[in-house]
Amino acid sequence: MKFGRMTGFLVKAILILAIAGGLAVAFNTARLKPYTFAELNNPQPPEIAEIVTADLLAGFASGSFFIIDARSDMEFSMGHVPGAMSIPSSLEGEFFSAKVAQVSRGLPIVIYCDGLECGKSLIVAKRLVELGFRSVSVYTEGIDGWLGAGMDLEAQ
Amino acid sequence: MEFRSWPRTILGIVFIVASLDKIADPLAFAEIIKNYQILPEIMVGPVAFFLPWLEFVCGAMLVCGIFIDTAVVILVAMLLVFIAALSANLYRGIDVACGCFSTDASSASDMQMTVVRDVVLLLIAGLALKFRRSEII
Repeated sequence: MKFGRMTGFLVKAILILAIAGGLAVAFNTARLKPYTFAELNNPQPPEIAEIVTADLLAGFASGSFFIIDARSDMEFSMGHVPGAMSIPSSLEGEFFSAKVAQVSRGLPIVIYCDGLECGKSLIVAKRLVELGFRSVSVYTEGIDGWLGAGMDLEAQ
Repeated sequence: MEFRSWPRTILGIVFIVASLDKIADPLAFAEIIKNYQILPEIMVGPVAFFLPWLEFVCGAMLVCGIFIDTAVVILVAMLLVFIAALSANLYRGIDVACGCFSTDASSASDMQMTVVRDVVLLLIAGLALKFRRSEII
């Protein structure tokens, strides 16, 4: 009796798996561009965009960006883009995780550091993308570009 | 609708809804699975390809009242795996999008609440099994 029930369960389970598999294959075949396992095994993370001062100013005015300062705590405290959050590129482990937990997932993220020669913003951007953030941009002109546009900094 | 069929119907609808976005965009779902950093790379694709359809089929079976026991057992197994994966990432401090109902990796995600939600779904699955009627097929 028990053997019969177990067999019945297995038969139904195999049937469900077969239906699911069949539907998956059929639906994928019907796509304009069917996916391959190789493509799905190694999905490419979204690209990190670069934005210029005009874009940042527009987004800043409408409050439509979540802005992150990738410089050190000391540099941040001396002056940063108003409303920016500090996530130093050197931050590791649980300190980094604690900061990331405060990052809004609802807004596009813009990360900056000093200016064109500074790579800190790109480091933080790559780490956020690895954690699943999709809309991540780097403001390459950084603080230099911000000040050059005649904007003020906020000191802590 | 009989009260006894509510749990399986609710569970079925939840899993059908959860599967739709993943079926539509398996690539985004694969990215979320990869972000979990649990499966080896070779498993990411097959899971992203197949799992949403398994959710859909089991959900549809529950809504239609077909193979109730088997569908619930498969969903319970999936929920236990989800809870284990979420708990592992909570423990490791890896904050990734859940990928439960949406493939938007930047969508808001509260892992603790997601674990709680999955436990509630487990309880509903238990009720579905308790209240199950004779299977139609």
